[in-house]
Amino acid sequence: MSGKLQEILIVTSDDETFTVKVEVIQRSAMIKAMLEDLGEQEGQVIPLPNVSSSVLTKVLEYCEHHKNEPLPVADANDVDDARRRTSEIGDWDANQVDQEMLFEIILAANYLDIKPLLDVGCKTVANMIKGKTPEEIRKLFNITNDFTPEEEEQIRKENEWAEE
Amino acid sequence: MSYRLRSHSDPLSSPPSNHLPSIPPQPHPRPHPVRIISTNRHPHTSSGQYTLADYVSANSIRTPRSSRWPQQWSRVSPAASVTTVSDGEDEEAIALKDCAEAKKWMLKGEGKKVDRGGALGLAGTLPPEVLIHIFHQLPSQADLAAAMLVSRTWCITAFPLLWLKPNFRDSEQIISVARVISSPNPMLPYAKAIRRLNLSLVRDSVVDEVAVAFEKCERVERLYLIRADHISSWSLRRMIRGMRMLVSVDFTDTCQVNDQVLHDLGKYCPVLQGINLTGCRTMTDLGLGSFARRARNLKRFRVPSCLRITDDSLVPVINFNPHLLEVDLSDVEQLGNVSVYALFINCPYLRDVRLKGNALITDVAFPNLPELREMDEEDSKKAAETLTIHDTYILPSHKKQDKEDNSPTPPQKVPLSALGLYRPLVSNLDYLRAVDLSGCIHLGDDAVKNLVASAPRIRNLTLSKCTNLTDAAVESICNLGRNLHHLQLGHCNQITDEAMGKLARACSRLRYIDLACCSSLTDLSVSELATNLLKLRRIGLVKVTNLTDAAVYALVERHETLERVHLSHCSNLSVEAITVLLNCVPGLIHLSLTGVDAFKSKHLQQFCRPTPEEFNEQQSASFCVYSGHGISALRSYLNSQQAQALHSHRSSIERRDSDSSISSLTPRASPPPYMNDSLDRLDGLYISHTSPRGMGVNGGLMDSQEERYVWMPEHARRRSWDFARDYGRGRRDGDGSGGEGQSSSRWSRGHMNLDEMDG
Repeated sequence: MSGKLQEILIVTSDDETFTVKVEVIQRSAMIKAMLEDLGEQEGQVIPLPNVSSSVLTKVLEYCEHHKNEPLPVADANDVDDARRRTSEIGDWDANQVDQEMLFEIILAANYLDIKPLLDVGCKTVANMIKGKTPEEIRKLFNITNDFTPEEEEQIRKENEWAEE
Repeated sequence: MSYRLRSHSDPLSSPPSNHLPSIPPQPHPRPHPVRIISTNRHPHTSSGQYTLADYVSANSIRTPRSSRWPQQWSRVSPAASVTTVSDGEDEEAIALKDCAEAKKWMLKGEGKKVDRGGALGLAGTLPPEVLIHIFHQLPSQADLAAAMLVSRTWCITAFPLLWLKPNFRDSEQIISVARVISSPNPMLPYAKAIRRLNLSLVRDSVVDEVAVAFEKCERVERLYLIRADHISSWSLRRMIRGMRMLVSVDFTDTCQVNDQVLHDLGKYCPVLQGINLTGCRTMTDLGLGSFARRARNLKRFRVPSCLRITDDSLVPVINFNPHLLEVDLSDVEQLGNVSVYALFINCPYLRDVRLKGNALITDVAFPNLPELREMDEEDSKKAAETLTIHDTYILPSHKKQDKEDNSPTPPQKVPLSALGLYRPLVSNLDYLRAVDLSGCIHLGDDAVKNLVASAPRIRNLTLSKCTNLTDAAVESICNLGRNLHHLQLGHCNQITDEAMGKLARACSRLRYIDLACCSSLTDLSVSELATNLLKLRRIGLVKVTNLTDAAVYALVERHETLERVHLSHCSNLSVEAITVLLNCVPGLIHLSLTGVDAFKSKHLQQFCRPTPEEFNEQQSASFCVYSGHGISALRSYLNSQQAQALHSHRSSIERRDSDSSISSLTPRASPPPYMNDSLDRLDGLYISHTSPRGMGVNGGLMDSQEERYVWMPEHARRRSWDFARDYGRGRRDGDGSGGEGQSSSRWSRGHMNLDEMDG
């Protein structure tokens, strides 16, 4: 990517248009690959039909905050590094989002392929699940129990070895 | 002769009658899928892109630069096999696949009809790859088990991760799991989900009934069964026959691993890459030979202490597995030169070779690869002429065709050249990093010379107890240059100071050197090493009896890096020298002084590690090893003793000089007995020394609150001043706060500090 291409336009699902610096948005491996495929044109427009403007705002905030870090490399050796970065849930992430937004961000990060953001999001959810009973988890995330009682009992029995 | 008879047919096709009724043959599995690549990470691309980079990173071997590899190379393609299992990302990919399978399985029962209307939160609709990513971050098995009970979707998404590598800690767990997987109608395909099975922590519960249940785990890739004493070889065989995707097995010290087990491993596990048979003493050539007929993908081969195997089966293993990376043939008592020679000729990717304790191997075992590459066909054949094995376990194609009759012929001796093992594939073993030849007592200098010529990038070299080695060997080692990091030459007592000097200058990146019992060495060697090895972290000088305090003062030069110093049985050392060492080397975490006369005192031994139980009275009396907190305790004790001694000494001087009673104000402490000598020599050489901890990064000389008083003899003092100067310079360069002038003046005006202390 030569210095020419500075900014691109992103259109969200609710038809809002964002002007975004390439330097920021290339945290998204998906958009980075797309730009490489499309070639460098100033004012390139990329539609993101799966991402709403409110979510994109948050995602861009994250990208902006982390723009100076090296891009994650698709390299097995980097796993440790990624894990380390995940374990410290950074200051950006400290400004709490509500649950709905959290899942939206995770979905967007998955879609846009922003691995560190996906990791942070998933780690946050994992921390919410940690140490809870199944009933507490259902309540927390508003999930309906669709097991039959017999099924539930069998699953519980078959996996009780793992409960300490 | 009976060996010969059996080797013609399948040697183990008819197991003894007391074994299980024969296991029905199962169809041979397809060759293993090469690698599972997550396709779901990129939602925008329909198929996962399997780039060259992926491929290369999946291979533990770097892709060779084509220009460098000879024609013959085509025989060995580095891409032929790759490691399948399975860390991080890969685990998620596996889980995703299992999850998709489980979906079909579970939906056999329709489940409770629930209103899937508005009540479903976003968490219920996450795509499986995201859910798996979340579950993968859960810290414990219990959390995964809880997640499984949340809903059907969560259940089938969490179960593959829980069962991928179940962690068994007590016998109840493993018995419960065995019951679940052998039950006729489990809710989910649990058995198939298990990829890694580690039964080592519950080895006492692994009895035949339990083990046999695991034969259903047909996708296990790694099996660890260490010191499982209660399992019989037939149940072991049943497990192996079930697990046809095995990539790696570890049967360390499991005595039931016999020839039949090995035969089955060869026959039923076509993708096996790693095998660890440490201490499987019942195994013989028969089993290993049979295994060698089929195993083609081995990368890790460990058979230390397998006392009954010989070159006759080892050479075939080596011959058919040119991808070997790690080979451990330590204490294989019958190992001869021929196996080692074949190994170096045939396996260009070798990384780690251990041949410890093999008394039969000599210089002949080590081919000089560059020279052999230069030779023509006939000469290189000739070079391997003397190396022969019996052809019992060699495939028929390699044997000379017998006459028509099938009458058993006695095993013939064949030279390596008959197997094509005479011309090396490459002229350098570029990947070889670690070689252990300790205790190969008949090795001479030529072995080391050829080894170094063939493997110029060795990083760890262990030659302890190769007592024939002389300075010539060390000079060969010098050719490793900066590649060499660890070197052990314990008991090589013919080595002299001259060679050490060369070594220190050539291999300047050495971090770890052991010279135990090299009794010809003197302070000169230590001085050379300490001066040149800028990264030296650990030095072993046990029983280098010539050493004096000068060696210790020389070591102080490496104060920035030194961590472990072994000086046991260097009986000339004094307490003062050690005190200096302790104060000048801030990173010291281990110091052994067993058998040093000056330290045979209760006062000093109180800080050392507890004596190992197996020691007798005499041994424990001299045992003296300090580590961790013991080091700092000893340091402060010695410093306080020294300060006290100096104080009383000075008081007595004052009393003598002034003939006044001032000194009676201070309590008189009698110096400890070991100080007496040095007190006589005190001549104003006191120097103040900052706390060693403070000498580091942020301390600087002036920042430290704690002052230490150290007495140093003249030559050591000169060196210390050099440090002081360096430190001062470092500080000035570093933060520019003008501590320099002050610090150097404090260093030179030692007496000042003593006055401060009085006050």
